[in-house]
Amino acid sequence: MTLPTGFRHETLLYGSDQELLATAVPFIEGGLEDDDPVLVVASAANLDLLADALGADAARVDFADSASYGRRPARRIANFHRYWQQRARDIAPGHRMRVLAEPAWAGQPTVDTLALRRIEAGLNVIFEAADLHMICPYDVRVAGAELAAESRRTHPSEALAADSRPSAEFVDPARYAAACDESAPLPEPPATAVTMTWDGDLFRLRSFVAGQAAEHGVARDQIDLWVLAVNEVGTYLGEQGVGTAAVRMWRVAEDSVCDLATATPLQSDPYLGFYPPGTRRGAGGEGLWLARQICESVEIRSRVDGWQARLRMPGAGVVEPTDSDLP
Amino acid sequence: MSLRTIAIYPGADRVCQGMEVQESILYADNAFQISSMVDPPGLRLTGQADLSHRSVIDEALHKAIRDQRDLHIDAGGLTFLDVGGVRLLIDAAAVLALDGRRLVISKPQPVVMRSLRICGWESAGNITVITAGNAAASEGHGPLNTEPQGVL
Repeated sequence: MTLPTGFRHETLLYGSDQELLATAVPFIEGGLEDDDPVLVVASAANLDLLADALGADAARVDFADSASYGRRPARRIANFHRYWQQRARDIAPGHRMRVLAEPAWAGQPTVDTLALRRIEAGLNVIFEAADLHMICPYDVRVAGAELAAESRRTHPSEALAADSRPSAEFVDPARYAAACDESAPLPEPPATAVTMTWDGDLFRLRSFVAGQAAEHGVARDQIDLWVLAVNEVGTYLGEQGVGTAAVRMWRVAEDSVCDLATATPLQSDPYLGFYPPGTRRGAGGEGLWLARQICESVEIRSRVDGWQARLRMPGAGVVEPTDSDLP
Repeated sequence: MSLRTIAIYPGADRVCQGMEVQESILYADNAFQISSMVDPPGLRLTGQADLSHRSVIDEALHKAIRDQRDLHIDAGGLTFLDVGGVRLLIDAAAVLALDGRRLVISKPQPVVMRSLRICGWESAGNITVITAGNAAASEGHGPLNTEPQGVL
């Protein structure tokens, strides 16, 4: 008999250490009992709390700090996917890998909560085929009751101490993404933006981006990545048969921004570029995956009157922790 | 295209610099060029490769794969390679793997190395990358690689 597999994604609302432990510890120990891989991504304080509660079993769990596991959604997905690739072979037949994934926003002003909510919904489709049981703890004291309750709309079920219940408020991930995008229209580019009318020539696009990026003070090796990212958006347009777009670039604070807008409507997947390369839905979206890995943000708007992508590249001085030591 | 003898481009970092070897230019435009190499057998990519070159790269790889040996890609003169281009190389490696052959990518510049890394060239298992700095080759480990891989 084949046991149910595939992605299981649950929210966990807690208001005290005891509430977190009451659900998280049985979840982790259940995985260890079956020798399934268990990954815990949490705030530093919760990592200590969980390690203490697990005692000697903690040695068999992979731990990572939420802050270094990826502040940006694209980065977190890449890290989860890498862990999945490394450990999927260790899952017993009919079992799921277990991941406790506390969102990274706790106490971090730089984290975009809209992007976070949007991708929480997206995980349901991004990892739909993975035998993965992910519980996402929301600390009601830090996140606030509103944001925590919102997680019932992005997770199909809610984990309780020794149980789980389906969330009646769960929203289809594509609809959820559309609602997020409608709630946050992209602001008009400033009057100082430099415009290029793109005719489909990617060489010209790259030259334009490289020139503007230098004006914006982007570091030399970052310019190469910035050019690569924008080129992939142009490539996507080219592959979709779009040969013209208005490309505008400007500077916001220390960052370089590039906006590509075409009047041709494109029905793009709302999670385009979030599907890891090599996965079924990832086919054809690898260029956008790369753009999302490189950029601080890639916001895509698909409308009846056109398609628009806005990319943001950190200027000099922004260094993210390397992930070479992460599980 | 018929085979013809051309001089090695001046200034290029070549193993057989100063010699004349038989190479044929398979494709050339203002931004990008593909030449066939005889020893080692394979392709030399020069310039910037993007969507507009995808079909010519694909065709060149398909023809080069017919040779029964490992396929060598000299990327020393390649200054830009998009994800689609990397995908073609990884797909070519998959075909080579069917009869135990390797794809050897030599001297990729840092910007091209980044594209390769982001696209997970290691997962192909039979790609060898020889970097410009030294002759030490790094090889892929297969899809279940236990080495941490950065995305950038």
